[in-house]
Formats: sequence, C-alpha cells, structure tokens
Amino acid sequence: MKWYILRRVVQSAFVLIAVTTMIFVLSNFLADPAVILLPEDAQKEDYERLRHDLGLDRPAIVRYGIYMKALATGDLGESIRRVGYKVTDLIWTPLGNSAKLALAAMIFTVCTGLPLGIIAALNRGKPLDYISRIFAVAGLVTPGWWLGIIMIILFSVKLRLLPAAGTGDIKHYILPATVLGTHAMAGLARLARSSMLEILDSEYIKMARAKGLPWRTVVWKHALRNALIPVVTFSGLYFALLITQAITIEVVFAWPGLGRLMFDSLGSQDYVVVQGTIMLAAFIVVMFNLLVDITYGWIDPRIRYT
Amino acid sequence: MNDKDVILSVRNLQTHLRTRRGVVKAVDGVSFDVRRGETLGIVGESGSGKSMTAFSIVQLLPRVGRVVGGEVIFNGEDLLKKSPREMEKVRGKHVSMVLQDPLTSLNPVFRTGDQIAETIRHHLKDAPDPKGKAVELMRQVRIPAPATAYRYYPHQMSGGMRQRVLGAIGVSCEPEFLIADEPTSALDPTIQAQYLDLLKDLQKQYNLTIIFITHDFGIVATICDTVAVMYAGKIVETGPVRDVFQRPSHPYTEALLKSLPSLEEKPKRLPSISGQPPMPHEMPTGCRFAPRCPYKFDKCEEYPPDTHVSPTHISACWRSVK
Repeated sequence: MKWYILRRVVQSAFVLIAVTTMIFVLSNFLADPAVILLPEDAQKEDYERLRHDLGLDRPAIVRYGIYMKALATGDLGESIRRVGYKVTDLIWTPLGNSAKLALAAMIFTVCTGLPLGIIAALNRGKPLDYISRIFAVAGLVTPGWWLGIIMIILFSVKLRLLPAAGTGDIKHYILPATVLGTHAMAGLARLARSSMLEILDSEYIKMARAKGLPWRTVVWKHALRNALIPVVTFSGLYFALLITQAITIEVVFAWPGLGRLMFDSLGSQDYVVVQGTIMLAAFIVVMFNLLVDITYGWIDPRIRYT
Repeated sequence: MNDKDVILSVRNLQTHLRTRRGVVKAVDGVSFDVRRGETLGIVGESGSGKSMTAFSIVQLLPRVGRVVGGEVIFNGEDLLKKSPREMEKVRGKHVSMVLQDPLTSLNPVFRTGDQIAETIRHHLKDAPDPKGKAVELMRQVRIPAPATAYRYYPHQMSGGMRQRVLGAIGVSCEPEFLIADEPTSALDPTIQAQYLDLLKDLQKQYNLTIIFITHDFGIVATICDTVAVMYAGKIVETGPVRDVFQRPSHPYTEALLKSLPSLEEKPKRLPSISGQPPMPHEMPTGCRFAPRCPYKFDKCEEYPPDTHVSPTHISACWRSVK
C-alpha cells in the first residue's frame, strides 16, 4: 500500500507539471493580452510600455521559468484589473464557497443517486426500476441552469420558501446544491444500477447464496462492497468537477464561488485571474484523482497489491 | 433397495427457462435417488440440463429459471415446498455446493479465510472460534501454511488453492450432502487428480453424500458409485458405474464411451457423435437422441419408457424394451 500511494503521488506530480505548462502556453500565445487590455485608440508606445510592465517583452522561455518558479511557491500572480490584489488572495473565499456548495451537492447526490440505483437493481424489470430509471434519464438531460431558474420561480418566487440567491444559512444551500447535484445524481443512479446488476449475476454472489447467507447479507455485504468500487471513482472525480465547474449554477444563484470569479474575470478580461482559477481547478481535479486512487486501493485489494 | 438409505429422491423434476425465443424445458422430468454416503455422477454435455438439475435442488436458479413440477425429497422433506427463508437454513448447512469456477466464485474483496469463517458464523451460531475452525479447515483441504493463507485475498491464490477454499467452505458446517458442479473443469489434470483425492477423503471423514456434475467419464470412473447420463433435459441411462461402463444400454452412453481415448488401442481418429444436440426450441417429440442415433427405427418417434436392464440399471431406449 505504501509503494502504491508513493507511485500515485509521483505520477500526479508529473500530470500537474504537464497541465500547468499547457495552461501557460494556451493563455500566453493564443492571444496577446496587451492588445486586449488597451483601448482601441492606444498608441504604439502605450502598447510597448504595457508589454514591458506585464513582462510580455521577455523571451517565452524566461517567462515560463518565472511562471513555474512562482507557481512552485504558490504564487499565481497579480490581477491586472484589480491592481494590487494577488490572485491567491482573490481565490480563497470563492474556493471555500464553491467547496461548501459542492459538498452539499455531493451529499445530495450520494444520498439520492446511490439508493435510487440500488433500488432499481434489486427490482429489476419491475415498476420501481422503471420509475427510478425515468428519474435518472430526466436528471441527465435537464440542463442545470434551466432547472435552477425553474426552481427559483417555483420555490422562491411562487412559494416563497427558499432564498433565490446568495450565501447564508443552510436554506441558501438547498436550491443550488440540489440543482448542482442533479446531473451527478442521475449518473450515479445509472452507474450504481448497472454495477449492482452485474455483480448480482456473478458467481461469487451465487456462491454466497449457496453458503446459505440471507439475501440481505448477500446484497449489503457481498454485493454492495464490490458495487461501491466504481461508485467511489465516480463520486471522487465528480466532486472535483462540482467544485470547479459550477459556473452556470453559480451565476444563476449568484453564488460567490470560483465559477462566479472565473465568469467575472472573463468578462473583465483579467487573464491572470482566469489562468489562476483554471490552474486551481486542474490542481483540485488531480488531487481528487489521487485521493480516489488511494481509496480505490483500500476497497479493492486486487489494486493494492499489483 | 432399502428406502431408508435414500437421502435424496428427485421425482419428475421439471425446470423451465423463459427466454426470448420461448420456454426452454431445461430439465424435463428427471427422477433419481441418491443413497447416503454414495456418490452420484451426473454426466452430459453443455446444455444437457445437468447443472440446472443441481441448481433446481437447492433453488438457486438464474432469474429466468423456475421449477414447474416434481418433488425433491431430502431427508423426508420436499425442498421445493420450502420458503426462501427456510432454504437459507438448508443451503450451506445440510446441502452445500462447490461451484465450477474457482476464479470467480470467491468474493474478490474479502479474505479467503473470512469467507470460510463467515459460513461457520452464520450456521453454527455458538461455534467458539470460527476463525480457528476456518484455519483448521484450510489445513484439512491441504492448503499450505493455512494461518498465513487465511489472510490471502482470492487473487493472491492459484486456481487449485481457490478450489480448495471452495471445498473448505463446502464442508465447513459438516453438511450431509454436497453438490459439486464441475469443480475440476477449470483445473489442470494433476491438480484435478489431487482435488478428487481430497474430495474422497472429505467424503470419508464427513460421511458425505455427493452429486458430482461433470462431462468427464474419466472422473465418473474415479469417484462415482452410480452415474446418470443426461441428454437434452432427460436422464437417458442410470445405474452403477461398473454396469453402465461395461454394458452401456443407451446408444448415447455407448457413443460417449466410445469417444474416450483408450491406452490399449490407438485409433487414428477418436470416434465422435455425428450431428448436434437438438435445439432447445425444436425438441423432437420422440426420443431426443433419435436424429443422431445409428440404431434408429420407427418406434423412436415415440419417447421410450424407462426400462430396467437390471434391477439397478435403467435405460430409456426402445432397444432395451423386451
């Protein structure tokens, strides 16, 4: 297990280096930030001065070195719109907000998707199975922003039960977390169903029954632990996506998270902040991948020992 | 025959599988008796219904399968009349099973020893030390270093070792009856022979009655007392192994025995049975083997009755009807 974890950590480090390099290349060479920043009537001298101020006139390889060195010390640069603010300072509060929302969404996802999938599998071909599958497909095909607007109209405007926007107490979490988690819930339900069905058909389940174990032991001990292997993978990876890709939901619910920050920075063309948030997103995704792999090794002994 | 000796009596068992193309009569009126301490071999090719017969007895049929008729009298009680909950008390405790594929029959995420101990814990609630008993069982099935092997996960063991673990699970609650569904098919021949030896020892030690399902006549000759030959969902011939081997009365048995390689003569090609078994949806109304039978005559249009060739040897062929 020790070597397994070490190997995965080293692999993750390499992935991070590759990703950061790619982000650097994309954000520096696809467009010239100086051109975007300057007003249309700017003079050639203004352009040159800005490039010098931003450090854009130095050779690419030098800029890459400076950038990677800064990254290594956790420095993501300074905002070019909000002068004097470091990206790291701008990112912390939104990151916390996004993480809290993603956690709430994930709790919703696991508490609904997993039972939905298992119930479907245990009632294969019966009405409960069909109902749960209709739920799952509906969840998958409904766009989050649309569902968000509908929920706001229903629960906030008409029924006046829940707040429509912003953060605060637990009530503020219900709508955005439900909307954010719906897609994952549907995916998880389908995954749990198919994984459970496959396992219930397996020889070792037949063997567990031949041993005379009661059906509930067979399902909740022998089948569930195996069915959880893909579910853990899914949940871990999805959690990272929920933190980092809740842009539309955060905009609809005016949630001051990473998605909102990225959205606003895109609008103001603050490329350093955009680059920083993407970097953070990549970092989070890679870290969760690592966590998932470690958990995976813990659940499935076949992975631990190979 | 003393009826008191009969531990399992299967009468006119019928098991149907619902498939897309209609109902398949996987087991179509099968009857046999097994006496205490005896080993019955059920032989047949894939799809002959031999495994379905076994799984009907313990009611572990696939989702599409259902027993639609007959009786399975075990120790005087009809197992088919028992509720699913009552069957849970029979399986593993009184009738246990060893499945075909040792590679997939153990749960990959639990230690092999725990999978043995689990059965003991479940059936023998007051067992003082299930773990210790599991280690002892692993020693009995000749797993080297059983205390260490207890902690192994299935993927850390070889196929032969895993099959031994399945055997240990099979006898863990000292059952009277063991159903072995092709337990050696996935093992290579030397390991096979060792496993059969082990099974014989376990049988002596626990006074086990065994149904051994196989397609291998060689194994039948090694460990079985009686044999039942199945073809297309029916038993075509049954009797003591020696009688059936020396005087096969059904043309199918005869053809199967002829297709075994022998040490004395070495023919260029082994004889094989021409044609294919009947498709399950297009069963002949008469004798099911008739389309492939070299002795076929007009009477074969009608299904032949079970006919005594000797007091213990029965064949379902018109040629045996005197």
